[in-house]
Amino acid sequence: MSDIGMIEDTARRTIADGLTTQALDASEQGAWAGALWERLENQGLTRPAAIAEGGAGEGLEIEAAVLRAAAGAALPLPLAETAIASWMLGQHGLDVPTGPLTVASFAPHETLTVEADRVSGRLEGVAWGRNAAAIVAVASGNLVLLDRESAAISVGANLASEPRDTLVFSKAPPLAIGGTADAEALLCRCAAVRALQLAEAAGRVLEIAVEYAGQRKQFGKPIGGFQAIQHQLATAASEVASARVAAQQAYLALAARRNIFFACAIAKARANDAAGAVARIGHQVHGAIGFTREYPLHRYTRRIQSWRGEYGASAYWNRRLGELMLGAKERSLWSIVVSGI
Amino acid sequence: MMKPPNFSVRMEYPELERVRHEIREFLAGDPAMATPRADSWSQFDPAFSGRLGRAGFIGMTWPKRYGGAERSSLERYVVIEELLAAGAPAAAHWIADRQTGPQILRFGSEDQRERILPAIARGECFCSIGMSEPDTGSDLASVRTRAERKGDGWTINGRKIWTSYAHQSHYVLMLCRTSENAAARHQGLSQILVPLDTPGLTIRPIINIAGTHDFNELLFEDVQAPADALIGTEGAGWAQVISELAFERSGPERFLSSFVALEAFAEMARREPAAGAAALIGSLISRLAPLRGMSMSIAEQLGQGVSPNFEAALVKEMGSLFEQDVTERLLGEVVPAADPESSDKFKRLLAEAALRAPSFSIRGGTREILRGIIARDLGLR
Repeated sequence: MSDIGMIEDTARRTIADGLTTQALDASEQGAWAGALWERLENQGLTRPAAIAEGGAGEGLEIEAAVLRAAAGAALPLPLAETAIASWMLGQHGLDVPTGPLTVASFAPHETLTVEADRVSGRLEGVAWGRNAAAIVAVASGNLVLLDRESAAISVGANLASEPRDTLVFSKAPPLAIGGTADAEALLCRCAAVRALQLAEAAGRVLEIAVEYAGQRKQFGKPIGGFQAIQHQLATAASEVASARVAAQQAYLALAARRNIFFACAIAKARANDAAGAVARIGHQVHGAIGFTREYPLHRYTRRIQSWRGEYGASAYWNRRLGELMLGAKERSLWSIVVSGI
Repeated sequence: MMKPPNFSVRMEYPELERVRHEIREFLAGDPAMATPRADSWSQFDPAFSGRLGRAGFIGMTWPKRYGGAERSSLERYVVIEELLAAGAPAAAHWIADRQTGPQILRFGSEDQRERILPAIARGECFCSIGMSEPDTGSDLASVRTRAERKGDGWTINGRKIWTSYAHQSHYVLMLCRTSENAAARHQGLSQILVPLDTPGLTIRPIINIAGTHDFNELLFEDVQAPADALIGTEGAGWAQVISELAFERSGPERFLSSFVALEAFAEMARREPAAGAAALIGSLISRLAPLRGMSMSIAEQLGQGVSPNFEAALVKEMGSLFEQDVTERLLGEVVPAADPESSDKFKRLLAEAALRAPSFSIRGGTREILRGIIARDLGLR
């Protein structure tokens, strides 16, 4: 059994050492933080599941630890996407290529088709599409691994200037084709990861805001001494705690291979709303300084506002969760809360 | 750097399946369940509590020699969440099982334990909380009710208020001032257990907005209590009361008080599908599931002797908002009106929950007090 805390610390240190303000700014301008990627790769942190000495559950625990560190530092690299892609490939017994990977998931609608072993279709909003060596997606009900070089790419970005690109494939030969894959399972997997990232970004916003409230003085005392500020931050703390627990529950479901849809839907909806509330509070507590490019708060709040919509906004997951529960006509809501579905 | 709260959740609790089956069997066969209640831990039914106690579901974690069942704190958790989810009228024994009994077990003498705990566990002895006073609400350390040592016992003078079901219970566990020290008001407080039929003690009803008589005001005029009415150490009352709070604040009654109304709404939505029903249910369940995980994590820690007060405050802060939002959303989005007299289960339960909802963020520590506690743990005060 690996020491999860130690791996998380290592990831935090490695990221902190390599991530300067200049590197963050350059990345927002479209530069690839290649030196830091290599450093993470050399530590094995770009393939967290491969560090695991035990089973798949341990791999997920290590992944969560590394992604907590990354999201807590606003790391501008596709560690999360690479982790999901590697995990999916591993589940299908496919080899994991080196370099950054990404995953394209727009379930429940597949947009790719396979015909005579050639893949065609259009993927929109692909995270880090331009930087990924290869892309994991579902096409005609099968898992496929696609070569970025085989795509026509038009670049785009989310609110945090993270690459969100459109990739068009036209009879592209895939690098590999796996077995039957469920686009919805892929969506759930991605939702769990974004939920964890949202919870950690919100946790960092809370930390920054608490620290600022303890330093910034007005009316002769730190603003954190005012109940109006204290109560907002207390609310933020409760939101962060519940988002973290929801993400933890989703990872447990993934490890147990049970209640995956239920737990991932809850995690994404909860983390979306919690992080949104925390971002609002974080800015309010900071006043004008938090609205500046110079101050680091926006690294997290812009990510939060983008990630809330990615892999399902709350309205989407809440509706589907409610439909699932109402559809189980012979069961009470309570029995589903207790035992899952 | 602030210290994050400790919530480690589990997915599987195989050791709890047996007790869950037991309590569900019990409830399925109990006559009180013909009429489920909202805010059911405020609904007083001594006959139900008696049946529950005789079946071994009160004082479950206590040693067998005091009438307990030596079960784990998580097993107790399962029982109380099932009571709440089913809407079982559990007020009669609730305070004794949750607070007064555990206080006697932790701080009481051997004689007090042997005398009181078995009766609580049988569901025959009910207790009230004697903390608030007319001039003492959130600022609990300002209590003025005095207990003076006179001869071989105590003489108590003062007033307590918001004392739920004092008119139907057997004891009130008082927080009294036993010595004056204006400079250190958290000192000189003691906990004293007073039988509610003691001469000199007057119990006056206070009717709540739901029109029911739960609350009372208690007037103490030279009330005599024997020396062994003191629970724990003289002067240590504040520390003892604080140690109660993680038990008081983190349980499922802090987020499930209105759940039966949501369950009834789902039953109705299955019979008569309505636009928006799924979204409403999903948006509430996605808040409930993590809250429950947090609360169970605390129950597990309490069983290991840890007092996670920060975590408990977080659960109560989120939980009371959740159980209020259940009624808020149902009132705001569902067409059938709440109606306390209705034969329709949903309308009746929504009325019952909605009328009681304002109390959810007041009882057991107001929202403002809890946010203050959380702020302190964040290092802001």
